[in-house]
Formats: sequence, structure tokens, C-alpha cells
Amino acid sequence: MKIAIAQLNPLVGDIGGNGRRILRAAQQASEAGARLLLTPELSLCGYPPRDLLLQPVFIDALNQALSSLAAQIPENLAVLVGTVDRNSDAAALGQKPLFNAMAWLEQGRVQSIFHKRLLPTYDVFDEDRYFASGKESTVMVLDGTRIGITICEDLWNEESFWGHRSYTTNPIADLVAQSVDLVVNLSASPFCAGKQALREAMLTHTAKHYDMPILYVNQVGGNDDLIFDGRSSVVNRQGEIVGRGKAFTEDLVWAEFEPPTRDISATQLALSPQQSEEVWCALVLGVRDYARKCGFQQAAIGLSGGIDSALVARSQ
Amino acid sequence: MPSPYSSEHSVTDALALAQNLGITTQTLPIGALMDGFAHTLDPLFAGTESGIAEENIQARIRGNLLMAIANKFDRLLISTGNKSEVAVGYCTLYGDMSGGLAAISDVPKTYVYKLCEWLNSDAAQHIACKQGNAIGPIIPTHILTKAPSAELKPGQLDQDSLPPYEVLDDILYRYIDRHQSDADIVASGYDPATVEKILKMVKRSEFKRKQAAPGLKITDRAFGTGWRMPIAAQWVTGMTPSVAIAPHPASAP
Repeated sequence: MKIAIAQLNPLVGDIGGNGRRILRAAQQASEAGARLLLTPELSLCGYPPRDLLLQPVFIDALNQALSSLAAQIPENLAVLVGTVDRNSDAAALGQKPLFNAMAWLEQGRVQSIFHKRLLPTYDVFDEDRYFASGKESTVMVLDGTRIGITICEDLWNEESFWGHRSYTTNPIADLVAQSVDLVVNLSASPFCAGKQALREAMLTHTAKHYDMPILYVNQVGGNDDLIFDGRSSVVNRQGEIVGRGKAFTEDLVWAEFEPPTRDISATQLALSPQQSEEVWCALVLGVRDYARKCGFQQAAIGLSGGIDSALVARSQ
Repeated sequence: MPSPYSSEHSVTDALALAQNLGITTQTLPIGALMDGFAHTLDPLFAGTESGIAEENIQARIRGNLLMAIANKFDRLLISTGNKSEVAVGYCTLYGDMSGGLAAISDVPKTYVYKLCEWLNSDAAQHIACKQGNAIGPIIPTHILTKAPSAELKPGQLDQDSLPPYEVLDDILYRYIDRHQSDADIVASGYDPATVEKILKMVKRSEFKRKQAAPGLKITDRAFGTGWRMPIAAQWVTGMTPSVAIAPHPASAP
């Protein structure tokens, strides 16, 4: 089974533009003979949409775009699209009105919706403000292959790695108990120095611990203060990183999953910049995307002859 | 935007950098504007000692000029304060803090040096996000070797007001990223008076950060959405003398 990972750079709130980006990736995936295309968390609206989620008309627009996108997905391709799902039980159960969700699009319609279970509220995250937790971990069965669907934080509660729990439930363990063949994780995981090394250590540990291949998909691009570094990863069940998307730029990564053996391979293992280089690349992307997404062509800087303004000028 | 307190090298270094980067520059001296402010404020300021107010006017004149340019030519003004300055409030609100994006407000000063040295290295000539085809040191060496100064008064150096940046940055890292108390930080070998001074500066400058342009997050804990501190507050980590609750004298029998 050929699986494509679209490491996309969305513009928050540009639902039509983001949808077109997903459709273009779907056409490429289909032409290359892929059976499944993965996109990052909230790929249709871009992450983080923040308080746009409080506007009912924003959720309506996402739902309309999702139906329209579903109608155009090429034949014989399944696409996982990050979107928001209304929580019909919210009023009755006293829960938040939305789910952070992945929609399975195939054959012209939404086949199924999967909900994020673990909602981060630390550091820059505030997902409890908008979302209810998904009740259970859910499996996507595609041509007999059982694919465990997780969204970003769902991957980050492995007690055997961290030495402690941050949430009551562990969606990965729940999926392993449901005999999945592989796990996909659709993320929008912001950059900080050394983050990729931590992610890969965790992915390696988790894959090995559960004897489970993991496809890790990350958003790329700068959105306000947050920089997403891409570097989507393909991890085999021995815990080896066998595929990696480029850092700090959009990419399409191809993986091949063999259902009988549960082996996974990838066509690309991009270099992952470290230390000064990764911080520098992050700053350059952050400045460029902020300017571009805010509609600026040019910048102005006060040059003092000192080192701070020199560094900022160099980053343009 | 040189003032009468700007050193000659400030102008020559800035121009050398601009030439290396191929960016257009305009030199706008601010002496006449400083005189205008001084003249207008004279009825109020006459007989007072020149100090922070006069220093900040210089930064605000520059901020005003930069915003005028940004407005006129539809440009994004990028402010240049680093994390160490923003943490202790060694920056001027509506002055050098003006702008739509604070590009390096999460980069500690010691890391600013590290990045600039790396950018000038051979290794950086082949980076993934390479820009242009420049060869050789782009950032003039003198910019990396001279002592940092805001040049808001004659002979001023950053180190007159702040501890050495290696010390400042480590104290800030322990406090901001690692959530250490003043006692923890002192126990790791720092002078108690320095630690107290720095942590109080961080607390006192909260109102500035609340009004700062968004900054790009590159560390575990950046100011902005990941730093939600009260402004009108009393607590400075662990320094409250006693939290034992004693009865109010008036309520004693």
C-alpha cells in the first residue's frame, strides 16, 4: 500500500486555498498510485485557528469546504483531512462544542470522522478552550489494513518514555489493544530548538515498544509566533526512522506499507538540520511567512550597527 | 539614525552590513528632533537631571521615524530586541519595541552571538535555507567584537546596567524555562543580589512585554502565548519575606 504524506504550509483561515493545496496533493498522490494521502492536523483551516473557532460561520465554511473537497478526490484514493467536527452532545453533556478531527474522504464523500483525544493546554496550547476530547480511539480499515488514527498530542502520553503520565488515557496503547497494523499521527507540532531530536527519540521508543510502524505527519510554516518545521517521519516497527520530509519547507513524502509483514519503507530520508542551522532556518521561515501571510512585500529595520539588528537584517 | 551620542563605528558598521547584504539604506540624523523635544519639554523639564526620559526620547524618535517609513511605503517594521533585553525590560516601549514582528525576541543575547558567528562560518554557506550566493563573512567582524551599547548617553555600555550576558542568560534560562526559584538559582553559584535584581527586573517589565510585537518562538518557553503572567501583581519568585498568615493587629483583643 503506497501512502503519501503531504507536509503542507497552510494559511490560517484560508479554507479555500488550503483545500486547493490538499486537492493538488491528492492529484499527485493519485497519479503516483498512492492508496492513502495523509495531511496535517487541522489542514483545512490551518493550525492554530485560535478564536476563529468561536465563530459558527467559520465551522459552517469548513463543513462546506470539506464536502466540496470530498467530491473532487480522485478515484481509489483515501484522504485524511484535518478539520473541525461539531459535538452534538455538547449541550446535553456540558462539553465543549467542537472536536479537533480528521475526516476520511473517499468516493466523493466523508466516510468517517476521527476525534483527537488528548487536548494540550500547556505552553502555547489552549485546546480545551474550544474542543471536547474524543471518547475513544478509532480505527480506519482500508482494504483490510487496520490503521490507528491519532492526532498530535495523542502520541505524547507514553508513560514508558516520559516516566510519568500527563493524561489518564494513552490512545496509542488503546489502538495497539485493537490490533491495528500501523499508527498514523497527524500533527501540527511547533518548533523549538532540539524538538525534532525529542520527537524522533519518542517515535523510536514508541514504535519499538509496541512493535508498531508509525507515520508521523507534521505541518510546516510560520503562523504568527509559532514555526512548524515539517520533518514528517516514517518509523518502522523496529523503531528506525526510515523516511523523513524536508525541514522548514513543504514536501510530499512517499511510504510503502506491506500489510503481510507490516514492514514500511520510504523513498526519502531528508537531512535534518541541528543546532544553529535549525534555529536559523526557523527564524528565516518565521519572518518570511509572517510577512507573506500578513500581505507585506517589503520590510523596514532600524540598523544600529549592533549585533541584534545585524542578525535581524540577515534573516530577511 | 545617529544621535550626537552615536559612535562613528555605529554608522560605518551599519553601512558595511547593508552593503554586504545588498539592502538599501537611508541615514536620518536625529539630533534636530532631540533638540525639538528638549525645547518643547523645557518648561516642564528645566532644572531636572537628564535621565531615562531623555534617553527614551531618542529611542522613540527612531521608532516614530521607522513607523512613518513603514506606513508610507507599506513595509513591515521588524523590531530587533533579543530575549535577554525583553526579559529584563532593557528596551523602550514605543521606541525600539515598535513594529509588527519581533523577529529575535526569543533569542537570548549569547545565542545571538552564536548564530552570527555561525552565519559567518564556512558551514553556513551551504545551509538548507540558503539565501543569495554571498561568500565570506556577511556580518562585519567589528559588529561581533565590540562591546554592546544602546548609545543613549555618552560612553554607555549594556554591562553598566546588566550583569555579563553569560550570567544574565543562564539566570533567565533557569527562571523562565526551568521554573527555578531565587534560592535554586543562588544555589547554582550566582550572587544573591544579582539574582534578586534580575528577577525583579523581569517582574517589573511585564507591562512592556504585554505590549510587545509578537515574537517567533524558538525556545522551550517564549514570551507571548506561552508566558501568561499577571502585571499588577506582588509575587517575585520566592522573595516574599513570609507567607505565614498573622492576625491583623486591629483584630487583636
